[in-house]
Amino acid sequence: MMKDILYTAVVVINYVSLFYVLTISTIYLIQLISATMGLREYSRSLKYSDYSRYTFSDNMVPISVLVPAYNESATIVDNTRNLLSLDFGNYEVIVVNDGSKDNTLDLLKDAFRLIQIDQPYKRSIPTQQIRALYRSAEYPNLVVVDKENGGKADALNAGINVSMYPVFVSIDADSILERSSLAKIIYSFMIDPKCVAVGGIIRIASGCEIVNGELREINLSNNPLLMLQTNEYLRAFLTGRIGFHKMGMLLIISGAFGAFNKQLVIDAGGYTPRCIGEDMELVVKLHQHMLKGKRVYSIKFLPDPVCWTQPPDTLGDLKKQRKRWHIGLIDTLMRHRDMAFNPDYGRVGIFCLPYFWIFELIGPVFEVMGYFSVPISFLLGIVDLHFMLSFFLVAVLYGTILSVGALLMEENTFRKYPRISQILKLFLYAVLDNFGYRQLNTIYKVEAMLGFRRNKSSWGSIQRRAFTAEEKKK
Amino acid sequence: MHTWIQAMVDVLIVVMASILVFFTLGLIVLHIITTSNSKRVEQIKRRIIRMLSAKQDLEFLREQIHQLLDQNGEVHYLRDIRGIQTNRGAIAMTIVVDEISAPQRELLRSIILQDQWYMAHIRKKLHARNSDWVGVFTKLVAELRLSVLEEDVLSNLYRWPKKADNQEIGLLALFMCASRDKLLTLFSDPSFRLILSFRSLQELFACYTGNHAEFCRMLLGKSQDSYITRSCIREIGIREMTELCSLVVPYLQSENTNVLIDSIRTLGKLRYAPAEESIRQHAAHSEWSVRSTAATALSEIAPDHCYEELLRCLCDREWWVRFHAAEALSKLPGHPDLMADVQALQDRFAFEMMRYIQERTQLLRQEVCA
Repeated sequence: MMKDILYTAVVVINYVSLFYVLTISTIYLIQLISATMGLREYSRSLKYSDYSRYTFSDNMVPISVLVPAYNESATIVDNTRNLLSLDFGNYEVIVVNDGSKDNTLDLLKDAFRLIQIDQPYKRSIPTQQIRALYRSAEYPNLVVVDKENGGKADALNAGINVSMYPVFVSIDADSILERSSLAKIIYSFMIDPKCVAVGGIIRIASGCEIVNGELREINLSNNPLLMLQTNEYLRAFLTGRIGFHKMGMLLIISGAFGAFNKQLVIDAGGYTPRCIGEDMELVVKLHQHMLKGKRVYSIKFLPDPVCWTQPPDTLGDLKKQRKRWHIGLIDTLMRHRDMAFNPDYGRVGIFCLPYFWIFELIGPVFEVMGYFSVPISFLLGIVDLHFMLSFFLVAVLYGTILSVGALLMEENTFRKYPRISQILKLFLYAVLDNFGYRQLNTIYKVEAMLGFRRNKSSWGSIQRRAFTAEEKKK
Repeated sequence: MHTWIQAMVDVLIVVMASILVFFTLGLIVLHIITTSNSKRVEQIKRRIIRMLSAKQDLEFLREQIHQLLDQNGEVHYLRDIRGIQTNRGAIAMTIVVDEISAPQRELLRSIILQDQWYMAHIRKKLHARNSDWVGVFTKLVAELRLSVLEEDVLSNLYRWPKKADNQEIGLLALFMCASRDKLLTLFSDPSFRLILSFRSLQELFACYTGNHAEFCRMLLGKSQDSYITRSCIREIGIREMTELCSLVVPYLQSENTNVLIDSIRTLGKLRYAPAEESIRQHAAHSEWSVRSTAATALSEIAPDHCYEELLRCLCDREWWVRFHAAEALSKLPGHPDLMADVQALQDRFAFEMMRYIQERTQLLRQEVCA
């Protein structure tokens, strides 16, 4: 009797897993095709559209660059220096120290000759109390906000309140931008008045040569974990994000590098305090705000403006990061559950949010179930060895196709990794990605789901490394 | 498990393995042909590489155009360049235009204008179906100021009314060719919908190569779009066309807030005295954005008798009005007791704002000294 029940359960799980694999494969394939078209269109438009004409023009939208920082002493000076040296006419850099427990603020004070100033600001969005505002005696466009700890979303809201300009760019304190990145991303607001938000591509900086906050040479890391993440980022941004953008359903603009229309963000209520996935939540909120008001708008992803970031380089940190991301996803979807399957929210409500619910949120559970049910099926004699191996092969091939597809797109457009050794290395990790790394991430996601309520916290504490060799030695 | 599932999985394996092999080969071939920069390899395989690699082909075409301009190689005529009559040829041309000096650009322009077959080629391409390639050729028209093609560019502006990229490059071509009459026709046409941002339009106005004063005078009355009106008004301010101030004055009564703001800003900047009274009245306007602009304009138009007005603006309920009033007050000469006067207002917010502006000014002065 028990064996019959187990048998039936395993068969049902097998069917569900198979259906899941086939559906997600089809969706990813559509994304890949859509991304190829989107990238081709974008590359073509670069042949005649000319952002550089606007770079130092008085007519370029002035912007505020917001850098929320919490215990970022390892990278904050390099990061700020990098932001102050970008090719852009009129902009201010606002570093928000969110009650750091380390010497982040002191480092900033020393490096940029900060002087406290009584600057009145408009409290458009309620935030934790601001302790002090500083301006640099060296860089007129640098502002540092020192505030009580309130989480990343709260720090960004404080930055919005203090900012002077109509568009703001949010950047993580462990990231650096290419010189032309700001001009490229802001060009979207110039050319398209409907533009509400734009996201840029995030790439892995580990392995690159960075001097005084400036990227000198692009290279790949020798750390396998970082290589796996390099591939993963390429795949996620060059297929996933572009695919969603092309279909007009972009839900994520990475907190590490995104530009937003300030007034619309304020109208939508700003970043939600104590929300972990504040970046995704804001974009969903903007969709909701604009669709509710029946306003014409666009939220874009551009594959060209690059932000180089530091990923976690230990398994422990990776686990923390991935759990945080997945908790952020759950949190966002729960907060906006009324939007899913709701025709009032157009394709975002009908297709995109349900996709996130079924495949991004619950999907890892199906995947883990599959990891267990297929071997059990084999032991129970439901499937033979040939089937089990071929099923595994399909999964591996599929993952590799997506990664190699992303590599192909990269090679055909931006070619950030020009050496053959770099391409081969990326290719190797595109295959290796399927043997352990992907499964590990899936398990982290399931763990995050199981401990969703317990694990909610504001800032993720991931070990940062300095960008430059000298700083690293210190 | 049913055999059909096994069969399906087997088919999937074959399909996926084929795709993977295809992708991998594609990746390797693409990499080799795009990164091959060895001169020897280039010479031996140049033709093959040109056939396969867009980048190499583009580089070759670029070199040939440079040779044509310098007259130091085998290329003496445009028709000597093999592949110039392609889309890639046009891209190479736009790259070269960015690289060369003004006299060389003029030389290239005259070469193209003389070669009727090439002009016919551009015209044909401007009527192509693909909007991206039309964009490339329109850019060429813009950069070489080929005004004889303005009619074709104009017609394209109606072909893709919802594509901002195409509208921008099309308008850029007309502005750079100084196609005044075409622009006047376009902007006075109610069926033409401008989809660019105001700032992009302003940038386009800056690229106009004809007589700005004449253009603005003619356009101001004709334009159907408030963005165009605003651009004209701003242009008058930026280029200090004082003689056109009288044309701006009627817009001080505009119901469009943005037009009103730009009029106040322009007339303030040009210190047009007849507008002073009207601007003074706008310092008490119901819209905060108008009040804040009027505060700044007032300090420019009447620096000697706007002190009281600005102190009143400093006590405004809106942050931005206080900010602009404080900035204006800090620039006014001859008021050593400014902080005392502000303190006497007994308005905490006004005082804090004024103190901040003073501190910031001091800080910036330190920077200048350093």
